[in-house]
Amino acid sequence: MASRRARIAGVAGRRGAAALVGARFGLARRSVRDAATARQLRLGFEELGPAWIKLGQLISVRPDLFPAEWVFEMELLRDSVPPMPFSAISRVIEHDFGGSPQELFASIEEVPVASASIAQVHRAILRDEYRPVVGDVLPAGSVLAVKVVRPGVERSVLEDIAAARPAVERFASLGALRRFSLSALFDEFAESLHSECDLRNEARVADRFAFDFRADPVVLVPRVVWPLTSRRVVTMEFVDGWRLSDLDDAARRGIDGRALAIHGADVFLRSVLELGRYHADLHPANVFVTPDGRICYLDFGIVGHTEPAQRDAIAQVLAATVYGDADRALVYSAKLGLVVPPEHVEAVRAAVASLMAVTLSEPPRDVRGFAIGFLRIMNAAGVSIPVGYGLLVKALVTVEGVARAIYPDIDITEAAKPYATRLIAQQMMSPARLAERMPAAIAAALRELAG
Amino acid sequence: MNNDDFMKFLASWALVHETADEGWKAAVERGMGHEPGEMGQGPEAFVDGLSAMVQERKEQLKAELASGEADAASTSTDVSEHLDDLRFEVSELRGRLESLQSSLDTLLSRTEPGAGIGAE
Repeated sequence: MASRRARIAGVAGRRGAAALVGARFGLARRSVRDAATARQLRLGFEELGPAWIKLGQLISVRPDLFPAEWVFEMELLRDSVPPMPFSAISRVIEHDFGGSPQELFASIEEVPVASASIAQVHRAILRDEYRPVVGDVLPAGSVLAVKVVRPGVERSVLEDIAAARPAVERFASLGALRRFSLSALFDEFAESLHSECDLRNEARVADRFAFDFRADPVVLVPRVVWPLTSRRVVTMEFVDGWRLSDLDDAARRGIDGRALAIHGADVFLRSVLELGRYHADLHPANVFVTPDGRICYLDFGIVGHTEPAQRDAIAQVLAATVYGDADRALVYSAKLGLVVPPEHVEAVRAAVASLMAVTLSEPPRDVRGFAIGFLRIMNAAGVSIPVGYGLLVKALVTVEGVARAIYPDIDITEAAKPYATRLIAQQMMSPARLAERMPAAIAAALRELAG
Repeated sequence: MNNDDFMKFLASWALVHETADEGWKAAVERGMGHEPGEMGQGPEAFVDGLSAMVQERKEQLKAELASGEADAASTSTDVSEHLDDLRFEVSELRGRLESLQSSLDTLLSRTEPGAGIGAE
């Protein structure tokens, strides 16, 4: 334990010094200082291994707690660790299903196709046909992805974090770091890790997503094989395709990247604004494009939810962003819990309008820049960001990143315009809204005619 | 309200209707002539585009009503969506049961006489 603490202290010291140099010993602009700190923090987390990578991933979905620079930098964390020996994986499978992998599957590859901090994935072949919860029957001989939680990972990650917690909290109580709630993050960490280590949660969300988009021929979600799924093992259909970073190859094969990118943005908007549940961790490693031109969604570990009452306001904020209307954005953001103190309203409105003019008025529009700037303005005005709001902003920016990875010239605000327009039209034409406004409209028309 | 007031009210109503109708037809005509994406070029373009979309839906509704399909179609769509939801819930439950059954079978096989009870 002591050597582990010493190693953490060593990495922290080295990365801290590098961050100081990057921030020109505090003389650089705030955004440069935050960016330098975020980069060194991310590199430090990667050096320290699984526990810290998971902590970084949690920071990456909490723009309500951390500076925007940290949040977006943590997206770059490379969650890749050396694989565990197959014998350890085999023991988990045998323990959970009462048979060896060789008995349960027609065959299984001992070398994993992916190895991350919490789990690793092995390719296998389905022994008997299976009827999944959603979609067609998986015939015997189908290629499968068997994801297995590393034995003991939950305990060892929590121990690692617990060992460092007192020192990190002492450090975080100093100076400028005081504004970040590291303590709250630690508390949330155990809960989210526990949920992530139960792979049945992910499988259930995948089924739900597949059902929600069952009529969409472009959306592909791997089918889950439930009899070979437990808390620590999830067995799914293996989907072959290109990670977004390899899309040059796909483009050469004649896939319409622009249409796919727009479709991906539409899927996200539909999830948020109609279905009320959305994939909140859509980084490029979780999205594949298949050879037949479909978008395959993986890893449903983090899911956001929106309530019906929130969806109207979200649609309005989205439309305000698309049309560059700062007033509307702030009015409807307030309905989502983002309340600007009255004394700051005018300054915040002016700052948001100016940010919109810089980032969103001319193509190529910079949604990411807008989001970072927006969160920074709110932070400077002392406005608390509700958890759901922060997650949504982050998810929207990530979707833009994914869409750009598919088609670099995509303008997501242009792509969102028809959707936003349609939603607002639906809201304007709702019977309740018409009934509310009609008397006033008729009275105004009569006054006009009488005048 | 005397008779004259009442007639004035009706006349005002007719005038509003007529004016709105003319404005509506003009907006539909302009909206029909939009290029793709033109709807986003400001409030007027938005209203014109929306009017054209509503007109299109209106014509579709007229055709459905004429053929008597509208009610039947919407009822059958509702039922079919509800059935889909139910089917999914049942399938989801089946999935969970299959997973639990596997765990149960594994535990039972370990408690059978002669089976070793061990941790991985």
